[in-house]
Amino acid sequence: MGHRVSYPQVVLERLPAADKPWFSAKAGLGRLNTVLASKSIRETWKYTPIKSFVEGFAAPKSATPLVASGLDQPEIEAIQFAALEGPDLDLVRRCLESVDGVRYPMADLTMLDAPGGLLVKVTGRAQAPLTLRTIGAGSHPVIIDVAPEASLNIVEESEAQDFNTQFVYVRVGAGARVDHVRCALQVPAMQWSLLMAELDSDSAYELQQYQVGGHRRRTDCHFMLAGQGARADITGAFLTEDSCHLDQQVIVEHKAPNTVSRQKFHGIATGKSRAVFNGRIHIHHGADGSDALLTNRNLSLNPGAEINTKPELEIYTDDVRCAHGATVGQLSEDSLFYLRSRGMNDAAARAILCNGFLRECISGPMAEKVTERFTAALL
Amino acid sequence: MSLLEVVDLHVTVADQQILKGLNLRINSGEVHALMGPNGSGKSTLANVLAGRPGFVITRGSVRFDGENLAELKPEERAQRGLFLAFQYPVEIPGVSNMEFLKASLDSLHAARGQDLLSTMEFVKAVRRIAEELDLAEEFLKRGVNEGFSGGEKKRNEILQLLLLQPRLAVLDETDSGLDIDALQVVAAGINRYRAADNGVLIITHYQRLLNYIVPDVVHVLTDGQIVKSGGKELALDLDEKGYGWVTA
Amino acid sequence: MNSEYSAGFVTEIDSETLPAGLDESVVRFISAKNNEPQWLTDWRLKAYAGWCAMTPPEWGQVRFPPIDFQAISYYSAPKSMADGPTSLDEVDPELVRTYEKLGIPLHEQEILAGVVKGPEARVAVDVVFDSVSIATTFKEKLAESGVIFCPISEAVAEHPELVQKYLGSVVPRKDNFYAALNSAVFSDGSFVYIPKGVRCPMELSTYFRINEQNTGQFERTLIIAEAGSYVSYLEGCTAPMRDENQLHAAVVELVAMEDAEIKYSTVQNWYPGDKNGKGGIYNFVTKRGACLGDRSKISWTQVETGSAITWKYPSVVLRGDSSVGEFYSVALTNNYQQADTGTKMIHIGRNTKSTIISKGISAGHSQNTYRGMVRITPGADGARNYTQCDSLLIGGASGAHTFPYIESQNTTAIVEHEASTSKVSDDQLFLCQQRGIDTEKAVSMIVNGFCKAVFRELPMEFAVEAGKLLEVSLEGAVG
Repeated sequence: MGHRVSYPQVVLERLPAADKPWFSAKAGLGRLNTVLASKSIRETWKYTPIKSFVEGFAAPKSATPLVASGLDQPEIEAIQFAALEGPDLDLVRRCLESVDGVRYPMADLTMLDAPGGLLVKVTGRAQAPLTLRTIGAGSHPVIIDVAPEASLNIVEESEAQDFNTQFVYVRVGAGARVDHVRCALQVPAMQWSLLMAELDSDSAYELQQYQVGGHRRRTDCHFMLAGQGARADITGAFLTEDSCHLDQQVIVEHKAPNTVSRQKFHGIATGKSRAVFNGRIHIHHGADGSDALLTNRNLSLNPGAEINTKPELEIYTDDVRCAHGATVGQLSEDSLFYLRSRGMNDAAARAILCNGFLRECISGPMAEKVTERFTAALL
Repeated sequence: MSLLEVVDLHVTVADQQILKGLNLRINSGEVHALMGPNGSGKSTLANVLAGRPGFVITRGSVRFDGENLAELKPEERAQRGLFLAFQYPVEIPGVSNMEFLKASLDSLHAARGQDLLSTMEFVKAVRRIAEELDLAEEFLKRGVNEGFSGGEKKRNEILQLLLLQPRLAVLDETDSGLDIDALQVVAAGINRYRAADNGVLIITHYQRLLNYIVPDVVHVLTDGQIVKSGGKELALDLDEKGYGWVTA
Repeated sequence: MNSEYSAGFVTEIDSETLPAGLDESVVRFISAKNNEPQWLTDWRLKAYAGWCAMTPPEWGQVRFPPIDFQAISYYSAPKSMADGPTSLDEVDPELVRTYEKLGIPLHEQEILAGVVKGPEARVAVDVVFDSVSIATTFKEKLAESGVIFCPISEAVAEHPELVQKYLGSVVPRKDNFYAALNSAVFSDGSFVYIPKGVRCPMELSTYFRINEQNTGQFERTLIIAEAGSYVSYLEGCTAPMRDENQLHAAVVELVAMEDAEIKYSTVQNWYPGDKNGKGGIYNFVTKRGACLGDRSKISWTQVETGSAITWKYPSVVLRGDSSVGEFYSVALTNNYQQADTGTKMIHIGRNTKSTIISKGISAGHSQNTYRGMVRITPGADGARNYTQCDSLLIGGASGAHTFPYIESQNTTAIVEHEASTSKVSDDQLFLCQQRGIDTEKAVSMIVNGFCKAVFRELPMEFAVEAGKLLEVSLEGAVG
């Protein structure tokens, strides 16, 4: 224990070392060298060895890892990072600097690795969704700034066959609203993704996250409820099969009074897969009147499948309403028997119950597609 | 000496002035009803009498049995015999009703230099009153108001009234949310309580309860002041003509 | 109301205290002091070597300045004990008076003669003062049932085969930094052996008292319950009020065979430091029980109100089929105390069951963390766990945190975890006040109600003491 990890050096040396106007490579490398050798990394990556993720950055990249559509709307202005200047450049820099490099070394790696990125400014109620599709290896960070009272729908899909990272940072102005669906329904690629959202007063964010476990996938979501009355609703349904490994981390920070958050994740582990869930609620001192709930329910369907769940609470003020629950179990024998007594065979009964279990967390525009994918995986 | 004497009472809550010069005098043996539209300050009066933090007296005085109430802590007022039946009784899970009642009764007796009831005497007394108020024994074993319906909570308040035997009972909208059966049970309890040496202040929006508990005096509170007082007929007039009639 | 830590006095007595510092010679000195056989001296030295290669853990939610291990003395004993008193009459009366002041009666004759009455009369006590055991009451009476209850130093001499077999079997020397340290320098502690089928006729308890300054206390307790036996054991502890922090790094190992049951209760009242967080004990303890036999059961019940910093996870390894592990805890922190405490339940056998009820109360500027691990290994068919962690916050300046790790590798296991956070609401306080109950009593009632599920599991004597301790510890918490 306590040995230094040497592999990062090999990878870090191959990453672009030149500073970019929006990101300081020197600072990033400095942080990475400290963090990757530290003890804290063992805790934040406890169930998912970070090594292979770091090594993934050494692989060749595709020219266009990400395709964005829906940018051609009057309420939306999109600017490539390379073309940023003035206040826009400052905004992007500030967002990137606010990311906790100790908690998210992958963010620093992504920023070092990515040749560019996209700033999307939303100034009104966008009618069509902004779609972000990851189709190739590599990284292409996206920073979205939603102006006060504006609104946006985001659809994020992952279809790449090779190692890729997704880094999306959303700033939600006062009174604004974002509805976001993130789907990773194809299995093959190893992937890391981070969604950071900063919510101003009385803004609302609804996130739906659907995953069919990747070969090795780690998703991080970090919500900061920075303004009074902000609200985040996060729902997730996931299924891991064969020897997949899915590690989902969600952190919600209540930094202002009267903020609300809800996290509800239902998941199923089959085959010899591993599903990890870590949902943290962090209530800062002064965030009086915060109201936070978290539920994580997991079904393990196969000997050899493994579930690790850790719902966390970190609370620094007394005027709060906070609760969480987590369960790991199987399908109810009573329910199974009931379906079978009505003529369904064992396999069909199990599939129906599993589907129902996941469907409690599925809704919105992608519901049909997602349900179909889960059903196919369960049969 | 009157039981309760309120003179030119001005009360502010969260920087808003709610009571703007209220005068009220209740003598022993009297039942007063205080009626008024929503927002007139009825609950504010109840809370300021009980000493709830956040209710600030900016002018005027309140004397209870001749003593200046403003200088006393809430528990001291209770020990002197002031009782408030809450409009929204709160739950205290983990603390059983029995335990709570005993702690309360013991503290009142201790403050008055009286002997404490033995556990057996206490349980007997509580059971008797609970039966009268149609509250089953299981309720008493649960946490304070835990899982109680609205009606059960209000009956629990009256149980406490009958057990603690205060000098002045202030009932803050005790009738709200009660069906006719619960109303009658509650009213019977209050009628059993009233006596020549105590007083009752019934705060209510509706006249209904006053059919069962006949008041000696009825007051109308509007915009922080008592604008009219009269006999029990006043309540009937209000019922017929509405509050607007008084201020017209 | 008396707001002083009532056990905060110092006993003026002549002690033999080793100068500060730790190296191999200190380890040998301690071993020689206890007249230990070579195998144990070697065991300690190996632990010491292992400790030297380890670094202190940093993952806890507790913050404190680094401990200078060379600034602590690792042995201190009253000089009078070196004369080897064989009965209580030969023990320095000043020592005996210390325990009487703390409410621990030692005179068997008086107890048997009915001079000392009440619940204390049913408990056999081993009293440990700094590094040595002063006395063990009722040893002979217990021996009549075949129960061995004596200081561990005595057990090494009289029952070496038992000690050698089980010492380090539940908490290996390399387990963690503080367990390694303890294995090297442990002084005294209790040894309990309950033979087959015996239900221990009395409750057993050990009372630990730190007295000398700049010392650490490293006690070691080993309890073995043979098939079909039962024992209820209580641990109590206090220390004087001092400005410096003192380290208490203990190791407790429990072994339960088939159908045996061990009930281990702790009321921890180490000096918590003053209102501004100065001084207080660092309580870094490794406690673990092994349910080796089928249908065995180990219950940990703890009420933690003291210590500047508490870092402990009484755990149960459920090896035997149908074995049961329980953890009931109330942890209260006030002023500037910090607690990072919880439990680990490791399910290995089939149809094992664990229950965790943790109640944390944070007041003042304190930080109170529950950290738990429920691990279901692949072979643990039919495992069941239920966990309930609740936090009660008093005042807005403290913190309450929950970090439960749930790791399930078995598809037939069912794990249920719930946690909630609440505060003593203004409405609840006002209701109590309006019914004549003053604020302190109201808070006490509400806190007691909050802890009820845990207090119910304590032996009666402890439950009363625990309630009182909570009241005293909460003084000044509600302004």
